[in-house]
Amino acid sequence: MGIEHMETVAAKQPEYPEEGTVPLLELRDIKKRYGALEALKGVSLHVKRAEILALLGDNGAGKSTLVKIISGVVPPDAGSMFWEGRPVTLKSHAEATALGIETIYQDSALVDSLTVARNIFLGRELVGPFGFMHHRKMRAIASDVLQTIVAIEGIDSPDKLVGSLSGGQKQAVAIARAVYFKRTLLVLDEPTSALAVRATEALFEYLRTLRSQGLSSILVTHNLYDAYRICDRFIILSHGELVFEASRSETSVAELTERVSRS
Amino acid sequence: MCQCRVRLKEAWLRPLWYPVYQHRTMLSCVGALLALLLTACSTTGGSSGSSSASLSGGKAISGKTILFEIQSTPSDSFFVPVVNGARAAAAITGLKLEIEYASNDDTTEVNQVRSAIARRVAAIAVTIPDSALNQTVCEARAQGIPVVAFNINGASGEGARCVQAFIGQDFVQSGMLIAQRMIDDGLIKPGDHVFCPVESPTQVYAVERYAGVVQALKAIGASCEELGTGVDYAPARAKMVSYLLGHPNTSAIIALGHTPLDQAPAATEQVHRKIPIGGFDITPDILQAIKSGVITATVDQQPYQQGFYAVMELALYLKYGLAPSSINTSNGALIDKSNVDQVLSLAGTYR
Amino acid sequence: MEHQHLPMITERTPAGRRADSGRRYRIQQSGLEILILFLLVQVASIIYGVISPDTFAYVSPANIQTALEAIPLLGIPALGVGTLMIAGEFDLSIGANYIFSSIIMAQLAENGLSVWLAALLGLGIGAGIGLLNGVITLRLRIPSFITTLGTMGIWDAATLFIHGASSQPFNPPPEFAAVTAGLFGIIPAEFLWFLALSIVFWALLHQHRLGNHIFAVGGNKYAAEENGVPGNRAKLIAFGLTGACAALAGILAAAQIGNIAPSSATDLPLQAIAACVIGGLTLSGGRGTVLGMALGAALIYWIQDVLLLLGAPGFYLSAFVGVLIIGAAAIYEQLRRRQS
Repeated sequence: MGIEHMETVAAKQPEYPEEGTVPLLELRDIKKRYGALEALKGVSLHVKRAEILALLGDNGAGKSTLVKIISGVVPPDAGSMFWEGRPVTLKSHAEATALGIETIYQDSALVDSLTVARNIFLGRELVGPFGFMHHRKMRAIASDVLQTIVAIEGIDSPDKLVGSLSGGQKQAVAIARAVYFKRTLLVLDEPTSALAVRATEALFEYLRTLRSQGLSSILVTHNLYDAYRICDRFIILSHGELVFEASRSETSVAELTERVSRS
Repeated sequence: MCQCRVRLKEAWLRPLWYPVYQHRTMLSCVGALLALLLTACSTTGGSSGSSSASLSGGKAISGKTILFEIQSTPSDSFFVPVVNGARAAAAITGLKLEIEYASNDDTTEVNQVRSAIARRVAAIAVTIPDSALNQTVCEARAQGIPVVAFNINGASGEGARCVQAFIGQDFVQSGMLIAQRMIDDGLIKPGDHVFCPVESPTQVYAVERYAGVVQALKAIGASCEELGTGVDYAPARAKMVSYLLGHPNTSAIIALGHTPLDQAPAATEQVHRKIPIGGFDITPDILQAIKSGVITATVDQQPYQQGFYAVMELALYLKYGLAPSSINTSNGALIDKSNVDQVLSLAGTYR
Repeated sequence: MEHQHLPMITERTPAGRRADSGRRYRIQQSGLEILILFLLVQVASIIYGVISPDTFAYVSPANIQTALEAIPLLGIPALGVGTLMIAGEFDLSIGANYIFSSIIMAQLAENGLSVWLAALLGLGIGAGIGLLNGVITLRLRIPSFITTLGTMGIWDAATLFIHGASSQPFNPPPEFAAVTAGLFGIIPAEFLWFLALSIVFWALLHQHRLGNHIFAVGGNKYAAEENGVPGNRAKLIAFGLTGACAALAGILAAAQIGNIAPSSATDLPLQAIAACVIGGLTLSGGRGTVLGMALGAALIYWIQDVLLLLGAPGFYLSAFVGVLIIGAAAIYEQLRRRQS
């Protein structure tokens, strides 16, 4: 499946050449509390340009909270965020999107009763004067995206209702949506949980392609083998704290497994 | 759906409570039966209804409370003259009225009456839509509280014996009254098919009025069919048009409620047919149509009487022990061209 | 936008097949079933009416005119209620709203205010009542079914408080009557309003971004908001439109009948929901078409009309409407299951 095509793409010139040493996104001492539960107890991390960062940890470690803060859905109680070196405060999901942060959720955030095309353009409809939608254009683009970005088995039309798709197909639509609107940072929360092996491979190939174009990704996953195959750097959270950080060359699957299970 | 709502043009801005000081004028319009009481009331000369003096002798009843229980909602304009009549009687007798509305819910009505029994009201006047109140009215009687029904009496079995009197339309007789009138006028002849639209055919008022109409028609060999129209005017008219188109043999309309009667002239006009129309109850448009001759006649329930006599009979019972008597308030109460002008001048308040 | 940088990974389906299946899916989602059903019953009724005009007066001018007058009074509220159902909410207060707004309009007009201004105020009040339902529902986070069950009682009582129990006459000046209840050729003005409004709602729901948001928020509010759709705004607008539609229907009915009874329109909320269900909308939201809402209302009227024209016993009419509702819901469920 598509691997050969992938290589020809990867050989292309990167779109976004690496810039200096300023991280794309930096979080300093982020804290978040839900009632009695201290979800994040002061986490600091950064994401470089053109890197795939793995965010690991057991259930309840604070990964989801961190993803929500990065995607602007939840404001942190304390701490600061920097985007390309400039301090930012994300008050809404829309603000994060405007910066260039795109999030794919664990539960895909798709509307079953809408078509694939409408889901891809949901909240970002292509409209003409007075807000009327360009249906034809959106369908054509959606068709193109489905055809070219992710090999989504069985999705033969952008007019299919998402509710009629399988779990893997839905996940693929969510990914297609995120990468079509790629900005600078993709946040993928358990993206492969519902994907077939081949679709997972295709997604990883695609993340590599994006990396070669200068885009960064944060991959939140339980699957340490998957993470190790694709990510450049690894961060492990435990009980709301960052307990381990290492680059790929400094660690191994065994060590990651050991660290996660110990935490 | 209440069996007998009436909407009146003249009353549309008047609140439910009608100022007590107008009661003297109001009373002058009630029948000769009340002449004596009227005089008594006038001679007291009081500005309000402080009127224990108007009924002398017997037990002191001034200030005692009567539950006046209406099964319908406050938005039901039929009960506006009913309540006006009740207030007039209360003013004359010095009784205190406690008016409650059950919003067409049997359970609500039972609870309201029970709670009044518990509060030891002096007497109960109540509309009884069906047998659900059987036990409750008997509970009241067991506590020594007199009970009369007005407007409708659906009590049955033991319950029917506990209701001391019914002041309201005798539906069967009224059905016969209007049908006979149309036969006498030569508008319905042997072999004719009559269309009988009604808001809700299953309600007691519809069933009994229909039975009366059928009885009169059968006697001359004419037939009759019912149609449920609902209470909303526009859909009711559309249904009647459909029916008239589907039954070109229809030679007369007897509408068993005010909704179809109000809309019958428009429906016949829409199918371009001149069909004699008669029916029940009054609305501004019905009265206008009677004036212009499109509607032959309508049976009036005389709602003012229903409220007035219900309270008055309870007062006479409490004061002198006079047993309440049933009254058919529609006895001969046809409104036609000959008396429609008087009705128009009093509609909404007394009619 | 930015799709020019898409890298090629794989190509799976021939473009021709894709286009064909796309059309198939679009047809499935277009509410075609109800259009076919509607046309079938109309063609059958017309043929029978032409063959045997004496026993079945379906094509008589009186029947056509009555139908075109009656259908909008359910159809216009159904457009609003349907939009709100797609947004995942209900409005049980439209009957109370219909009465309240139109009575206020009639009172103002009968007391000397310009009838046009009064009608505009009536529409504004209707929309305001709808918006208030929305604000209460969304702010207090309670189901709109409950909110509007409550506001239904509140506005019923408000009608009594402001107006009283008796009915309100409405005798509009001739220009106003012509526009709201007159005849254009053989077409009643009410029907033209309904037609125009159906087109506006079609454009809004199926062609406009706001419509897309209404579908999305009704289908899955969480997902819609995750994608930046202003979900509450979409719902609020749907509430407002529902209220305005109820008020417009109330005003048209008042002009048609010349009278507004405070006790009427109690069936309207459920009738409008029934029309939408017959038109293929789901109670769970996110699905439906404007075509369905309009034809659903027309079919409710049609079945009653045909039965009466055929001389069926008027006593049992509601049973047939009941069968139509259940039958329609069952057919749509089957169709949906086959789609997915």
